[in-house]
Amino acid sequence: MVDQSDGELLSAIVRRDPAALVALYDRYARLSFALAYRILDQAPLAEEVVQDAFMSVWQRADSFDQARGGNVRAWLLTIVHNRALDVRRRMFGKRLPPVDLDEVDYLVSSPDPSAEVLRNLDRDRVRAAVAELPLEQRQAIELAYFDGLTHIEIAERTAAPLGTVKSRLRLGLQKLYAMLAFSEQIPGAGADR
Amino acid sequence: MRCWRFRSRFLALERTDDLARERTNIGDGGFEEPVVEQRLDSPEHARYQELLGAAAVDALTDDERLSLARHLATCQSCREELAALRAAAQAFPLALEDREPPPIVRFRIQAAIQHELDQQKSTELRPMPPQLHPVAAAPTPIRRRGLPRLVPWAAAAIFLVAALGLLAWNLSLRNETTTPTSQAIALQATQANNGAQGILTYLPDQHIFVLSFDRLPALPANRVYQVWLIHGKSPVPSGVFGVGTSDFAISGNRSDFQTLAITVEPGPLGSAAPTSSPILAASL
Repeated sequence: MVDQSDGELLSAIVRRDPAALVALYDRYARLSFALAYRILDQAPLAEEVVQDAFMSVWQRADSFDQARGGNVRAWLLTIVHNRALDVRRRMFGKRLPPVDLDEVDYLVSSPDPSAEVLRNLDRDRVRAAVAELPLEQRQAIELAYFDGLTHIEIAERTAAPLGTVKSRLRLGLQKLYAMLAFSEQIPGAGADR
Repeated sequence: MRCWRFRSRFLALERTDDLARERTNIGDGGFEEPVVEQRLDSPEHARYQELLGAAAVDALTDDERLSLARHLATCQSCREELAALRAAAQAFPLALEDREPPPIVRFRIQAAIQHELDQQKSTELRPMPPQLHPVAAAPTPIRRRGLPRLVPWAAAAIFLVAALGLLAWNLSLRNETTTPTSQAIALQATQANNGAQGILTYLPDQHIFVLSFDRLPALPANRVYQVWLIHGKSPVPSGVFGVGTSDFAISGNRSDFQTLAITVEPGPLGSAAPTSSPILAASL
């Protein structure tokens, strides 16, 4: 199954083929665990999140609309991300967003033209692009994405005005999008693969 | 800069800074409804634009999120920008360095899938496995609103181990030809024992320790059982479980440790180092 595309694996998962789910796991376990661990900083909880995420893929594979060309990897990471932040918020006793997690996962599976441009990104390329971001912009994005902070909390954490934080988030993501969508080469990334 | 867009000859349009979407139905047939798009030079629009970065990483407050949603209904420019920023945010985790999860994660997932497939096939023929509590690694059970879907990870793993035929399936999935082996290890009550008894089995090919209990004594509130794998003088915290547990699996290489011990620790996450004497111990 190692030669099959993500889409082919997902189709096999819809047909209840266990080997396909395991193959998807073998492909993305290290990235998924890295994300869960980055958010939770505890291996046992990160393990549970990864397990839950792959079981969610197993149970909800048919809800992912491949016909519209969605990105399986992005969908999986969104599931991991949402669940990890959910655990993290419960740990810290925070209010939970008024959305059903499973609904959010499903919504993200619907592709749109901007996301299409960023499909199948090479990870080294993303690393190089993130490294190019100004430090405050990168930090603001990280605090929101990995720590689940609101922009008000980020402003408090970084002792910056709220308007500055809003601007850093927007400019940082704009810059990241532009680098990934439009640059043939990113400084320091080496040959484009 | 985009101009007003309208598709009808007749407009009922108020020139205010109000962002409400206005529709004018003029009779029937023939005339389309005017679509009033957001003015891109308004201060309102600029304020919402400033929120788009935070929106893309879900960093808005609830009120802001709702307010922005209303604006997005009338503003294609913001919708497009938000979509692009969201796509960039989704790419962000790809920059992380890989991190290897322990092998037991794969094992548990396989076991849970097989457990589910078997249940679907033969609920009439096979009695349900005894109700087992999930691994209590989180402070509260992780429940999704509306659809509680806890996967009994401990149960699934042990169910797989107990039925060796399934274990063979697991191995064939990994293209291994070895037959499953297991080693029984004496789990002894210590001086501080509270009545707990159990069986310890080690699976050398998978590096998994399986603990099986008949009846675990009740614990005071906010206390859990915690497992330790001990190397020299260093106990490594290896998981917590509660009173209702019958079976518990942890990953570890037997040759790395000299002792396995179980203590009672403050719940729900246990301790970083043991705070009490072991109630059960095994020499590895």
